[in-house]
Amino acid sequence: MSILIEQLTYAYMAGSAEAVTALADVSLTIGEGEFLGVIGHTGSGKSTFMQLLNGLLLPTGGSVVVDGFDTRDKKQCRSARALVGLVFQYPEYQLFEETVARDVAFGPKNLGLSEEEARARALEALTLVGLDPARFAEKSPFDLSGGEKRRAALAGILAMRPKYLALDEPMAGLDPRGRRQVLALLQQLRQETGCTIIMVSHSMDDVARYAERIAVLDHGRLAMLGTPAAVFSEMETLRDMGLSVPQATTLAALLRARGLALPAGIVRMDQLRDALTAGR
Amino acid sequence: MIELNEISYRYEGAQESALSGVSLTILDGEMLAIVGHNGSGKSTLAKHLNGLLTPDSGRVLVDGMDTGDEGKLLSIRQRVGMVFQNPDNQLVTAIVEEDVGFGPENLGVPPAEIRERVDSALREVGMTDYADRAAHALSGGQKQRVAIAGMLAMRPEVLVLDEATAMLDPEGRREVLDIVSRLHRETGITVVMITQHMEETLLCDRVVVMAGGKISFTGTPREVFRRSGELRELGLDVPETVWLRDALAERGLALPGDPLTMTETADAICRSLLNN
Repeated sequence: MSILIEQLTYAYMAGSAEAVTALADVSLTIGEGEFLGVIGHTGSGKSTFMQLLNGLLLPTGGSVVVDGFDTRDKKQCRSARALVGLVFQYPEYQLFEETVARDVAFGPKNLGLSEEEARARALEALTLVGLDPARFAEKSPFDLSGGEKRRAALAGILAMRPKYLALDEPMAGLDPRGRRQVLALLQQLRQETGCTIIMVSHSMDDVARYAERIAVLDHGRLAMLGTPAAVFSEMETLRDMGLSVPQATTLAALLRARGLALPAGIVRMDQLRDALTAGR
Repeated sequence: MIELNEISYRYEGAQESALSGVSLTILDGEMLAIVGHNGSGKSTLAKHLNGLLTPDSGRVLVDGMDTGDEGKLLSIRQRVGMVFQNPDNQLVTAIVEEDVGFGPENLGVPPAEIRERVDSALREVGMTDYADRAAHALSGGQKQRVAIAGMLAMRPEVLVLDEATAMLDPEGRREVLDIVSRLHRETGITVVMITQHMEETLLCDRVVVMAGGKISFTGTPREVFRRSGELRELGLDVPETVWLRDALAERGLALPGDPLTMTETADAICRSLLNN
């Protein structure tokens, strides 16, 4: 099963004179269990793309089909939405319940689960994100630190057990420790639940480290799709789109310019280390 | 000059002190970074620099004026301008130039001089073309530049950026950092940057590393990143170039001269490989 995206187009205020096309003719298939990175300059259509994945926005052209459920159909859209969990930027702004456990249980309750089932799911999700229920379940969400709030918000989505997890810049505004925790958590989730991850990030270094494939959006179009090594080898093209490359790629280019022979496709510092110390 | 003398501070109802016995002197014209993970006390320290918080014990002197002396607060805040994290919380009026003029107006600056200050502050942050625009329609980086202009219009001696780039995308961050570095270089304004992005400290003359409400150590960026092991123990990252340098040393390829920037690192690698 997969998310089939065909000629996907979305225009804000479609049909009016002020219609603005945010996404145009995007086609790709997101495979089950994949880690897809999505990059693009501000205004490239990334957030629109993410909201189309779970039917929060509906295509004005083309289609999104999640495990056979077409989001354009009202009934099927509900099924698609249950499969794709969408985590917004700064999700902690959406915490609102009196206790962490109730906040996390809100989603599953909305899916029609009983009070007890929803609570059980909430406690499980809290454990999964590393917030010990014994310590955190009955706390007010507003007493948590920034990183804890972010994880609580993530738990709220995980409690719905989505098969596909779509995250719009999940590390924005977190400190280095918080970033590492969220990234490690995503890795762990994939290993334990096999869920698919679609992640928008501004950090080329993070995308290079975690994504198997990268989709590059530019002015609403899918400009590139490929492995990190393939995508980041196109330094010039990316620069023209206002995007950078991972620091390891930049450093490798500086070294090549100084006459050093290095293999192609270096996107991470550990790869550069290995290349420089090969045979040692 | 700002002198912090053995200051301690505890938030109401908190179990532990946010700051305990911190002493630090910030010299005129320096560009200083304060780093530390969440809860290290760095933002609490920042809020002491212009009297937003006053210490439970110890003293903070801004050009000799005690921040505990309420009669001096206005004068202190005019000298020490702060820019905060969230770009959406700092602009107080609807139109960009009104926002920049808000501070001087409150200081009782005559209208003709306000005009002049607003124009020059907007020019300094590269936002002249946006003077009559709606503030809410700006990008995050632009909003922070307007917030900085608002501070510049007060003609401060010290600019404190309390994680002012944390919520910006890489482009917005670069915009803000470029402007702050240029202001520092061209006008000699003192800059204190509270940051979680270790790469940003490379722009500074001196780095203060905080942990548990205390100063762990201070030094130039080169000195501080020589202690990468300690930084990691404190939950802080090191720049990617420093990670590579350590990783290469571990495999027996030591790089000479503690390189930090990309160019320095590339040069050091080439030199090191030639010698081997």
